[in-house]
Amino acid sequence: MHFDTFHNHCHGRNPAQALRKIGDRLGHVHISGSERMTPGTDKIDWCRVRQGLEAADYRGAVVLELFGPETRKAIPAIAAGFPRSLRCDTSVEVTCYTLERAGIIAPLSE
Amino acid sequence: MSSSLQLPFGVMSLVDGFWVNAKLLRRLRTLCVTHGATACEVPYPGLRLQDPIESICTFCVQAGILNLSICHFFGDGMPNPQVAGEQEAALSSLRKAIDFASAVGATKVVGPLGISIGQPGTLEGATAFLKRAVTFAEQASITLCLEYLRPEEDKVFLAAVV
Repeated sequence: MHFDTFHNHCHGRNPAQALRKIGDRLGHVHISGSERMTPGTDKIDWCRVRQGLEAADYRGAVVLELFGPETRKAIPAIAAGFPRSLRCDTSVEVTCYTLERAGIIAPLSE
Repeated sequence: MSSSLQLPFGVMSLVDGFWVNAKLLRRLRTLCVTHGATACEVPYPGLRLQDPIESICTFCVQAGILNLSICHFFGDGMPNPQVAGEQEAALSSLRKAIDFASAVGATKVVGPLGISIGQPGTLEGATAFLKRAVTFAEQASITLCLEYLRPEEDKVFLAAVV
């Protein structure tokens, strides 16, 4: 099963509970902020995401699903629905910092 | 706080544009190397490369990608699984994505169902669709990861795959 933090948030589900329920069926994870905002500037509790990933004993990669300005130009529906956008490298940097702080990925300095 | 899970991370090519062409791959390579990403995901429908297999394999080596995934709707667009022609077209499209994933060394094809769940009879149709898709995936040693967008899709997945 493929878990996406943005879609989970749309359902109003606690990510820790949702991931615990999925358990060992978890095969892939997308990281995207609420309202497709950059994680760290959004409303998702990333510590709960971490708790859920740990409960599911997930050891795979987490993939950042971030829509930079170029993508928003190519897919107008995304731009219309979620107008806030950071430059792609800034967005990745902020997301990595957020995930590091939440204990999901390793600090880049390690 | 407990210790870090230290999971590897990756980026979707969508971070820098939808169409996966040579220019995007160059920028994506820089992005991955700069941030230490060892995973990457590219949309199969977005590939715009002269030699997609060679280009993606070269990108993975140069960017240090260890974990590649291919995303694709499990059903191209929104096929009606009750209409045989549309289901066959969707299966054919998904099979191409599975074959591509296998050729470039990816282990997963990921994505949402792309079927209009909630329409009369579609749950059964979607279940049948997934069962057939899983057969292709198993033959190619590819894992299909169904992204749930709606609670109904959880039921489809649980009924069809688990």
